[in-house]
Amino acid sequence: MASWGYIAVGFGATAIAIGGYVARLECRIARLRGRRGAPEGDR
Amino acid sequence: MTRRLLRIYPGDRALLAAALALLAVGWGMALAWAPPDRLQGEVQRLMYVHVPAAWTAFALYGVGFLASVRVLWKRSVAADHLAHAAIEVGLLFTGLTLALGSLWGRAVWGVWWTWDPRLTTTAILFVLFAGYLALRRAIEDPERRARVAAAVALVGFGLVPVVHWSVVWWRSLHQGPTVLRLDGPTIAGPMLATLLVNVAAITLLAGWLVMRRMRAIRLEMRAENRRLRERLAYAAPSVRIAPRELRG
Repeated sequence: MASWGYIAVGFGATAIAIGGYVARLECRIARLRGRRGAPEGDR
Repeated sequence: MTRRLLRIYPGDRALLAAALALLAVGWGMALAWAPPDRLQGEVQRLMYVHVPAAWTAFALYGVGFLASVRVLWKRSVAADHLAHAAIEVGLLFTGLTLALGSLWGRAVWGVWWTWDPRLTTTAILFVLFAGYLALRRAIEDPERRARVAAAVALVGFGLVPVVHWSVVWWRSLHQGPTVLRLDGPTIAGPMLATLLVNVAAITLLAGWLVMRRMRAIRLEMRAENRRLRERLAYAAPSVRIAPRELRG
């Protein structure tokens, strides 16, 4: 049973780490695009 | 032309969709289909996230290495952006490799960390490429930053084969290679299939992350150039500088 706890933490941590990085990246892109007022086609 | 291509080419969204679909299949296989290990039992399933993270990190450092060679050879700005993006994403996956390995080690060896050759060389790799990113932040001149960072990336990539062969060269608690062996894989078929699907999924996801990071870097460079132009215009209103002269 304890094994599944480690597995849940491992897979969960992977999803959170990658998801967190994506969220940070997309926020940065949105912020920079907003600051520049870039046209839609330049994304 | 480039703008038109970017507008019509939905490559990044298709790549993300493919990566997530493959990851759903891979994780399904890892959690429900692949058999448990004869010795380690269920906890061995951590291999299906730990190993793809490690291999993808190595591949990304390889991309960073090739791009850095191009930076030093051709002074290519695009290659510098690629190296930066690939190494940053590689660092994310190296961090995941260490964290997942630590979790797996706690379950199987009973310790979170030990100064084993594989673990130690991976930690050195992590610190080295974290240094690469710190160095990029410390140097303001874009051309000098690109050259110095490229040199560090070349040195850093030299450590990747050492990490891989560390379990062969030195006595190690970490298991030896079971897939990337000269005499062929020793891992069971269903486990190998599950592992390869997960490696493919994480590789596609990493490719998408690199594309998005490169996009962010391009936007950052443009914002930096605009700030520089504004500062110059304020300091010397009569001087006009063409945007291409400020290109990062």
